[in-house]
Order: sequence, then C-alpha cells, then structure tokens
Amino acid sequence: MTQNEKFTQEMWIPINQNDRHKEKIVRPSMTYWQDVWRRLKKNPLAMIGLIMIIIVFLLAVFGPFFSAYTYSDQDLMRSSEGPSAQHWFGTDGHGRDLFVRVLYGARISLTVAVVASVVNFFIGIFYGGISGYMGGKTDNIMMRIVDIISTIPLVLYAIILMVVFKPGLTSIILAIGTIYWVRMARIVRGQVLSLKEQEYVLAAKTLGASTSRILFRHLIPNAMGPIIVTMTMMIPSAIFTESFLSFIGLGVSAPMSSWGSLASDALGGLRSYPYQLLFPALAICVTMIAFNFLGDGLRDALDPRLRK
Amino acid sequence: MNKSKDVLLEVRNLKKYFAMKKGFFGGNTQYVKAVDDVSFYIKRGETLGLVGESGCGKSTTGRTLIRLYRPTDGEIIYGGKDISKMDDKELIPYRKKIQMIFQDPYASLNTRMTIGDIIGEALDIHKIATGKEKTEIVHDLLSRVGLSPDHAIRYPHEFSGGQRQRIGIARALAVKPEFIICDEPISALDVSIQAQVVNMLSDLQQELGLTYLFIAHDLSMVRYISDRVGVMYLGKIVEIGESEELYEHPAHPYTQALLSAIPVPDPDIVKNRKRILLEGDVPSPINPPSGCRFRTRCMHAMPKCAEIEPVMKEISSGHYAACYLL
Amino acid sequence: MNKENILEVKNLRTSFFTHVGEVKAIRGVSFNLKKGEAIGIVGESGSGKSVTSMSIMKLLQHPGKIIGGDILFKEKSIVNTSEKEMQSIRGNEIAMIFQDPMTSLNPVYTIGNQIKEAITRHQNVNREEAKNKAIEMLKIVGIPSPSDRINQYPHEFSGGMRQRAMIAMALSCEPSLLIADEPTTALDVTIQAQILELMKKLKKEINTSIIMITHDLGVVADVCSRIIVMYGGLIMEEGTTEEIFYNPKHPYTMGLLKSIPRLDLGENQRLVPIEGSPPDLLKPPIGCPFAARCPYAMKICEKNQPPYFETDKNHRSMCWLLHEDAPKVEVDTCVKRGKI
Repeated sequence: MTQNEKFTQEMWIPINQNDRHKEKIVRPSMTYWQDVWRRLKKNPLAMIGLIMIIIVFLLAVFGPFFSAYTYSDQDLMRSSEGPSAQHWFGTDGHGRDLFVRVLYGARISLTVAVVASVVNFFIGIFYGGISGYMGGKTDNIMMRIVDIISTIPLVLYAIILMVVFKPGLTSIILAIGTIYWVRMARIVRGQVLSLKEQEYVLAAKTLGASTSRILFRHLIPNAMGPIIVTMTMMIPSAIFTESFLSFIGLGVSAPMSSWGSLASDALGGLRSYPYQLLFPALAICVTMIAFNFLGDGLRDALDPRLRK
Repeated sequence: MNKSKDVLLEVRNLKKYFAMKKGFFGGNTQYVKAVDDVSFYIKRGETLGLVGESGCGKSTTGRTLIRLYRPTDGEIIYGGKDISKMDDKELIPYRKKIQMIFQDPYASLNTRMTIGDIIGEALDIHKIATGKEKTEIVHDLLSRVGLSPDHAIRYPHEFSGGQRQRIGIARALAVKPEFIICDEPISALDVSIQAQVVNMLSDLQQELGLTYLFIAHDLSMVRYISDRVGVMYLGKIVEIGESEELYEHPAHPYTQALLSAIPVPDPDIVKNRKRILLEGDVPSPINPPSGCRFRTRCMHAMPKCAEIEPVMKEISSGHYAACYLL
Repeated sequence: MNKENILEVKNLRTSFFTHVGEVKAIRGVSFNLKKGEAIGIVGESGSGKSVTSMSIMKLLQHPGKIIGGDILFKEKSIVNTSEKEMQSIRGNEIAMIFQDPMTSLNPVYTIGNQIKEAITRHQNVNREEAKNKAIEMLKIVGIPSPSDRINQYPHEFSGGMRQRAMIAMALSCEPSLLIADEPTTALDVTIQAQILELMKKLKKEINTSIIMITHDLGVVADVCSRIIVMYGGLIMEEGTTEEIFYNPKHPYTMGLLKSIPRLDLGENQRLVPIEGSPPDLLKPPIGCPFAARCPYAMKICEKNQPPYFETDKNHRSMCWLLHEDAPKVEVDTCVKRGKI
C-alpha cells in the first residue's frame, strides 16, 4: 500500500455494523480423532507399523484359504524340507507346510492377544474408573486388591489354570485376561483421578449428572488417549506371553499351532533345520515391532500438549 | 426492606475443612480451614460480590454453596430449605435452580463433545427436551450468548476464550436457573473480552431476573457488577456491605489495602496516590494466626488482635466489618 | 543506528510453522528502546507481545522462526548470532523475568545456588564473592534475612518471594536490558503492588532499560514511560504513557480504555466492550487487523493495511481514521487528565 494511491470517496464509507460476522471462525472444523489421525499419518514409523499389522491380520484371516495345504495335512515323504516354490517356508518334521502353520499360528496368537486386550480394556476401565472416581476408602481397598493380583506370577497362575481346566486356547486367554487388566486399571485410575477435578466434570455435577454419566460421557472419553496407547502396547506383550506359554508346552496342543509352539517344535532340529525356528520367530518379532511402532506413534499423536 | 427483594439464600456459620492425610494410619490429621465460619445472605435479584486473594476460600465457598462439596458445618438455606445436608437425590431439583459458571474457559468444556452436546447435556439429564425441541432450545441459547446456531456442531478448541466462556454461560442457562454462582468467570479472559462477558451477565440478570454470587479477585470488576460486596481473608469474611459504601468508605485495613493495590489505568492518578503496601504473604490456612487472621500483615495490629478474634460490627446500615479499630 | 538506543527492532516478522499452516505471529514490528528507558508492550493474548520478547531473547521454540527483519542490540544485529554467543548475552546483557514464578525456578537447587550460578556463569568472580553478591541482590529486592534465605529451596518461598528471587537473579549480572513478561499476572493484587513498587524502585536505582509486557494497562501506567499497543501481530499505536492514556488515536486503544472498569468513576459507568474476537493469525486479515471489531471501520480498512500516521513527535498510530480524507470521529474514553 503506497500513500500515492488514489483514494476514492466510497472507501471512506463506514461499514454497517450489523452485517458483520464478528464471531466467524476461519479454521475448518476438525474432531479430536480426525486431528489424531492426521498427526499419526505424519509419523512414518507408526504408519509402517499400522500397515504391517493390517497385513499380518489379513494374512492370518485369509491366507490359509489361498493355500493348497491345511495346517494339519501331513506328508511324511516331504518332512523337514527347506523353503521351496511349493512350500515357501519349508515343511516341519511331519511334512506339514510351515507357511500355513505360521499363518494359522498368527490366528491363534492374534486371537489370544486381541481377546485378552479387549477383556483387559473393559475390566480395566470399569475397575480403574470406579476406583479413581470414588476415591477415598473404596479406592484404597480396590487398589490393594490390584496390588495383590499383580504379585501373582503369571506362569504359576497359568499352570494352575491348565490343571483345573484343559490346556488350550481358553485357559491361555483366561490367564492373560484375568491378570493383565491390573495395568490398565492403574492407568485408568490415574487418569480419572487427575481428570475428575477438571471444571467440565464439576459443571456436569452441578447439572445433576449421574455418576455413570460423568464416568462414561466425560471421564473415559478424555482418558481414551492413554488407554488406547496402553492397549496397543499390551497386545505385543500378550502375544509374547502366549508364545512363551506355548513354548514351554502350556499352550495349544498339536496339531493346532501357535507361534510359540512352532518355535518350540523347531528347537529339536535347530542345527539341521534352522528355518523352522526362523520363520515363527520372525513372525513374532515383526508383529511385536509393528505394535510398538504404532503404540509410540499413537502416544505422540494423542499427546494433548501437542494439540494446538 | 423491600418485599420483592426477599432473601433467596442465607448462609449461616458455614465451615469447610479439607483433611490433609498424615501417615498411613491417619494419625494427626491436619485440616485446611478453607472456609471457617462464614455467614451472609443474598437477596433475590441482586448480585453479591465475593473478593479476596487466592487461598482466601472464596471459590470453596461457592463450590460448597452449590454442594460440590459437603460442608463441614453450618447451614445453607436456599428458598427456606437447608440444603447443606441433602444427598445427591434430594439435591436434583436444586441442580436446576442453582447453576455455576467456571473460571477456566479452557478446562470447563469437555473437548470431546460438540458445543450442542455440551449445552444440551442438562436438557438430557433433566429430561427437559429431546430431538428437534432440544436443538431449538440449544440454538436459542447460543444466540442468546451472541453465538450463531451453526456453532453447535463445532468443538470447544475452535473457539476463543471469550466465546468459550459464553458457551459456559449458555450451558448454565439451559436449566433456567434462578441463582448462578460465577466463580471468577472473567479472570482468565483478555481485558477487551472481560467487559463483553460482564455486560452479558448483567443483561441476562435484567432479562431473566437472575441472582448472582460473583466471585473474583478483581475488585474493580466486582464493584461494577455487584450490589453488595463481601471481602474474604483466610477463610473469613472481614467486611461486607453495599458496594458503593464499601468502596467509598472501606473500614477494614485489609479492604483498604486491597483497594489501594489495584493498578489504575491513569498515569496521573498513579503518580500522585500513595499505596498501602502490605508486608509479606497470606499465612497458611492450616495454621491460621490466632485472634484476627489479618494481624500478621496489618499495620495497625495491637496485642489484643492476637488474643481474641474481633466480631462483625455494623458500622453503618448494612455495612459490617470485623476489626477492633472500629 | 542511534547511539542512544540500546535496542532497535526493525520490521521484525516471526511465524510459527504448525501442521495447519503458517501462523504469522508478528507481521512487521519496529520499535526502539533508549538506554534507561522503560517501555510497556500491551496487548491481549495472541497479539504477538510475548513472541516479540521471545524473538529478542532468541528463545523461540520449534516451530517458531524469525523470518524477516532485524534486531539490533547495542548496535549489533543478533538475528543471526549463534546459540553460543546468545548464551553469553542472555542473562548477562539481556535478562528476563517470566510470568509464572512457580515454574521458572528449578526446584532441586537452593535459591542461592541458582543466583550464584547466574553470577559465576557470566562474571569472573570466586565463590565467596558470588555468594555475597547473591545475598546483596536478595536484600535489594526486599527479601528479609537474605543470608538464611539463600540456603532455602524454591518451595520454601511463597509466590511473591519467588518472583522477587527471580528478579534478583535477573538483575544479578547487571543486565543493560530487562524483559519482564507479565511479571505480576500470576500474583495476587497485594503482592502485585509489592512487585510493582520494587520494579519502580529498581528502575531508579539501577539504570536498566526495561521492556514490560502485560495485558494490564494499569500495570504499565505505573512503571513505563512509553507504551506500545499491539494487536494481531502489529503495533497499533505507540506513544508516551500520557499520550496513550489521555490522547489515544487508535480505536483499539480507546476500546481497551473503555472496557476497563474504573474505581474512581463510580457505579453508573457502563462498560463498553470490544465486540467479537481477535483475528486468527493463520489467516490474518488483509487490511487492518482490528477492522472486524472496530466500531468505526470503513471500507478501506478491510482492504488496505493502514500506514503509521504520526500525530505527534512521539506518537504514531496505524489507523485510516487519521488520514485527512477520513470522517472525523469523537470518542470519550473517560480518562481525563487530573480527574480523580
């Protein structure tokens, strides 16, 4: 703008005060989750993790359908063959196709992990939410129970469950599901404790909102960030626990396979057929890394301090 | 006294102590005496201002009145009924009559809910309206606070501080309350926005016949909006009276010091006036000083002040103060 | 550069490159500060007042960046100095006091240690001298029994005391420029009065130049001799304190003055708020940033950013109303000289 420019008379006309939008918002509307997703997309590692997880899931669900073999088909003529065009990952000691067995193992491992996490999610939120919201004595007692549960060694507990029930999928899910929630409960309780003094919660109270309304409409949605991160981080540790239990023989029984039992089976012939251990171990590693990448990315994306 | 200006709320000897845990077995529990024997009344349709420095118990008083806290002792008589000992169920009808506006516009709105849901929540809770009727009420409330109906689908973080505070006002108005506790509603706002909110509050008071308890640390704003003003120090009201009278003839040394500490936006006045500077800081409410609580910072303190607490004394009509100088 | 000036800011522009786009926090700010002078920068949140001070201190955090203009401190440009050189300037030549005394002191060191560290980092003194200097500084800022207090931790200090300790630390190296960013906002009125009295006293005793950043016109009226009013990343008006209060030329300054309640004006005064909300600097208005809220806005205001009009030797204002062709407007801001 230069001073020399011509000023026309109409430029000096005052603007009618009534037809102005003083409260106009220029930024586009964006929900919290849209914002999180946009930030997550910018994190390459997290996206690699997410894509890997999706691939693993798709392979686990649909992969076995496209294979000529099933997890239990034995062909003793071709036992312990190395990887080839026919058997991508080779075969095991009974001549079963290792590729299909790893995919089938993925089904078992992921089922255990997801079911256990969902169980943890609900128990953890419910228990931690109530404990944190009630506070005082209730909180004290509930948290001491959590302390006691967290002292039970998981392996010991799993063995007892195996003895009482039958070894297998249900027992593993039960073992992981009933023990792991304590971490979630602690996270949720901590969140609720810090959020319940927020003014929007007080406002809901003054409006006469019931406890469940405050908990489920106000507190839990705002604690969702850390909850999701915890859950994402919990899945790999559940996979690992399942693999470990299967590895020491407390898992699913043959001919079913899980990554842990595959690794365990391969141990005997480790010197001659190292690939039999390599593939299931690789599957465990890749999945764990993928979940950890995603979890780290989510932690950053959900961090309220980064939100502007 | 005018009959139309009857007493809506009366507080008698209100006390609120917070326990501070000491040790696992709870031995030697100490108490923060946030509100310690406070009495006042508010007439229908008037605004009572409550001022004081941080930690004086003014916000705790407000939160106890609306029963976010259970009082340690004392009575809160609202419309003739004592609500101080009611449980959550008995309080439900009062949740519609008494409402609150909060201090921090960034913390008082749930960021995961749309503006429409935030304002409409009260309508859901009290089953006042649903569906189209609810939407209409929300839109009406939004335009009442100077926002447009299409803001209802947006989220709190898209609004400025002043706009958020107005959303908070709309939320409080949704239940058609008769008494609103304004807990420092403007202290987090910019100067140019403060006047917007304060003017809106006084316009709403005129239109809807509201009664306010206006809590603030900004004495100049309090005078502007209040009919009567109470000054709190360390959990006690030290002076209360008609705002004109209190500001023109402050009786308590603390009120005098507070008034003289306000920064005045006028260089000539600033240069010529003499400030009463208080020494030191507010003592801890866990172990408040004996006798008069202000004596540790008071320039007129006498031996007597440490021994017996001064009682409230009427200096002029409706103007009370607790000080031995009077 | 004028020799009298300790600081010259020339057409400074600072932006924050956020994920939603470039937020233009400062959009061309120029001002000078003379030796020993105290100026106040007034504005609301988002006006760019704090970003200005952070730019001068070169303490901008990512994604903030100075994208244009120059800052001359003692006739030397500091826009392109290295972080290492800035470290020797910060605390030594330019010191800063922050808003929140609760978080600006490190809780794991004693007050004395923190002040001593500030002294020994920039001055060639031994530990005994540093300790004596620290005690002396605490005494100057009015902390009772400083030789005992020096061994205490920040949590043993109250809010007002901590802000005093911060001031003592900032002044311990006798800086030639002190930037105070909302130094009293977090404090109670009676404590604020103490700190303001202290700053006035220090201004007289130590010949330090002061930039006081605040949203409270009452605070600057007390301490500063010149005032800069910022809005939307630009300086709207600049003038001596008297000029700004008694003869404001910009509608924003007038609006600010009219929206503050005055104890001395009695009850009948109706506050006149500034309607609307501050502009979003992600998409700053093309014309005058205040046009959307200005009661006197004209068509030109929305299209063209006004130049500065000098109404007096020390008074400039960015407003089209001051152009000779513009309609004349009379505004009563209620602030009149000598009226009490």
